Amino acid sequence: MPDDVKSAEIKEFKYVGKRNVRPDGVDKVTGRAKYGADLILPGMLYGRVLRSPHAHARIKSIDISDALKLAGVKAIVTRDDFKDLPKAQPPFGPMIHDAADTTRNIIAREKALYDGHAVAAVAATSETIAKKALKLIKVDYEVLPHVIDPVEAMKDDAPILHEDQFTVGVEPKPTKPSNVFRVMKAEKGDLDKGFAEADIVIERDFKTAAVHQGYIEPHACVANASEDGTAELWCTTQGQFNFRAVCAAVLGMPVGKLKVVSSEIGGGFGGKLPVYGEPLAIRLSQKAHRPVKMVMTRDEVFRATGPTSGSHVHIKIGATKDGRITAAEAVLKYQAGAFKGAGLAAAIGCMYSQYDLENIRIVGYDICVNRPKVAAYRAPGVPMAAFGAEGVINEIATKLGIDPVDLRLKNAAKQGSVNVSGIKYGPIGFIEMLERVKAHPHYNAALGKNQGRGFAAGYWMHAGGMSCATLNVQDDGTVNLLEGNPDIGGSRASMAAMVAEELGIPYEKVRPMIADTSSLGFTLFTAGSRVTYATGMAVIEATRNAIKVCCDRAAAIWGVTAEQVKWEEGHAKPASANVGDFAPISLAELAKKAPMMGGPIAGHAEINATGQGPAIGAHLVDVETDPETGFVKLLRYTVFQDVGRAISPDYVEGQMQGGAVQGLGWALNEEYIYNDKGQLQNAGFLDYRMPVASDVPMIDTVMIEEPNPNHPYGVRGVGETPIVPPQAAVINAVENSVGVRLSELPMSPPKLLKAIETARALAAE
Amino acid sequence: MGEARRFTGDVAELDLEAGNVMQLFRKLGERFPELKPILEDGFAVAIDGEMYEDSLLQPIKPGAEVILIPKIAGG
Repeated sequence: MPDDVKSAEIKEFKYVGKRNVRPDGVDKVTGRAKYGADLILPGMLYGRVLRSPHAHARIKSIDISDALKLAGVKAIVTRDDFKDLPKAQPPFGPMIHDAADTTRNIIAREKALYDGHAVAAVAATSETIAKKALKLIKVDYEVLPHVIDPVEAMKDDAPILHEDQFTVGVEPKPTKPSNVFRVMKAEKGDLDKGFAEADIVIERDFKTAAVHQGYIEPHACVANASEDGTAELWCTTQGQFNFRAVCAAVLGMPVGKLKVVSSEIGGGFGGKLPVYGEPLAIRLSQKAHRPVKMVMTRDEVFRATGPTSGSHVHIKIGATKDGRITAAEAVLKYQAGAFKGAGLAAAIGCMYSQYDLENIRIVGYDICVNRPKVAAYRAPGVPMAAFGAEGVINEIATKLGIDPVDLRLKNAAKQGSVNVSGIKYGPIGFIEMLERVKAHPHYNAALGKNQGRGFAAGYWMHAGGMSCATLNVQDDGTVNLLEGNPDIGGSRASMAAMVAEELGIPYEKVRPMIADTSSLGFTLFTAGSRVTYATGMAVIEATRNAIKVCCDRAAAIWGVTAEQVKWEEGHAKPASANVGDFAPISLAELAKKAPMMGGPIAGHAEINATGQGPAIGAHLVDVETDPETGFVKLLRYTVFQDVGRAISPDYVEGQMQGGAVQGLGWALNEEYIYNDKGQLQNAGFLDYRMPVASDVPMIDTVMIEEPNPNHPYGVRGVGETPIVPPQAAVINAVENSVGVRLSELPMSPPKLLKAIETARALAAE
Repeated sequence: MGEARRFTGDVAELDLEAGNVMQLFRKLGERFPELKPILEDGFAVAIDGEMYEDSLLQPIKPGAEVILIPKIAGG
């Protein structure tokens, strides 16, 4: 279609918005899809990692001599095989990139800082030999006191993880080291004035546990280093370009000498953004002169890879008696794990941002504890804060006798609203969404005994960033599309749909592929709900560039100017009757003639996508609580979300459902259980209880399409928002079912039962 | 937001002349030296409400309102 047509305004497309067959489906259901652990190379060795059994210990010495003597062991690496990298110095930006922390998390240097921290790695001719070799490595630890709760870690007498860390963001500048890396603040308006205007003020404390992303596929890679200084890395990753940058930095090699190929990925959710064993595998391969495969066990994934932060959240909100929120305050204390960097900036920027509020203050503490370094998990930092905020807003609604959706309507952000970060919104669909909630059959369905309904809303701001795409027309008129994002959420199908729509050719004629780092320009990771938005824009631009080439070729064939040619339904056509009576030329025909007309037809684009907008959602849940056991049965669940435009509705629905399920696990069951030595006790899916299909009802989805005018098809990122509301929605539903309000997650049966029994006893007095 | 104000002596608003984001960051860095090292890596901007991240060449029209917003990552 012509460039001047605003695609965001057109409602009906041929491929965009349709349920096209996914291009990766057959390989995935037949087992042909190649994941991180599926590559086998000639002469390949097997790598295993020795991990600290201590939550906090100084590493006095590491003796690998006996392990090296074991037949079949070809290489061992320790801290001595990696150069120390410079420590980030103040001033610190909102996002932390500290090379010294990165290298220490990959392999411990002075200290082991959590149970599971990597201390050494072995490459051997078999897994069995590698495991035997680990037992022969002697590490002399000086065990230190440990701390795993963020509030405990803030105390003056808490064990200190980093003696060179002094809290940033407080005055006067501290002289004593602290586990608190920094204090972040955001303010808008006059909070005291806002509370003074309120008729009701509610203040509550909340606590959430650290939870893991729970991807099915563990971290896995194969590294193959050459004596010429180059290396190839095959791995499961959310960002092959980011992995290349980090691995090259840690290994001290030029970026251009490392090629990273992303495998199919069995889930990430943010957890496969950090690098873990990959530099170890490359270094082992360099030392052994053979390829090395490293695949984490599930135990290792839990012990040694980043969950999201556990938190203590304090919320205080004031409102007038007609439900207008006049002041909103929060104090967030987040555990960062062993190294600084909890998701505070996002929490602060998003937690109240679905509302149009005048007076806000949020303070956040980024706190180190003896647990694995946290990693992003779907809207990182926001669900914990939203759990508290939405919980208090629901309580205000109850106390004022106002319908919880009506209270949101009274305070809903809309076009022109400004949030705490200063962002002024363009068109957003929150009000329409809330009206759809009220009109939905779920909202008005009858409830029975011990059944309750809960509601909560949530906000996320998705990312843009650098993306590249290259499109090549094959000589049969099919199209190969190369883009740079590992496909976690169905992006290949969406890219193919947009290309097919732009070109006007059948969807099946477009073959989307994911490029390695040597085949395409830098593309930012698959995260931040950015891919369909940002890489979609690159793909559309690349396609439009290819169309220009096609039009030029057709113009040459007809002896007219390129401006006299239009592209429509897969064909070059005269732009008007005045141009001449020329039969349309198809893409396939142009492709066939291409060798004689200047060469193959292609288009490419390298962009930095901007103009992203908010992504808001609201969830409705019905539960039945057994007052004798504390078991919560999920009866019905509906997810409402402003998706901009759903390029691939199947996938968008899947994102909405998947995020909701993860939020439900977070709310009802998931937590890390440590013993008094700081050692993880439930490092497996049997005891770390995530929801499975039988735990949840069919989750209905309602997509509100308020297009983002900055994207050619109106796309908004959708993947992360749906994990934000479930926790507060479920707590609200449980309270409405049995009259008990919990403020701590997970709301597991023993905890809920205890609360029910306590309430019963109080009522009896 | 508060994160930038930590380095500006709590100055929340000011008038500056800048033709694009790069010039804006340069002038802010000259005025507030502690802010300089973290501007490009740490902040996106909203220019009259529209978000721009890593966009140093993005033009800024005279009279535009520009907000510094901390970059956030996703999962």
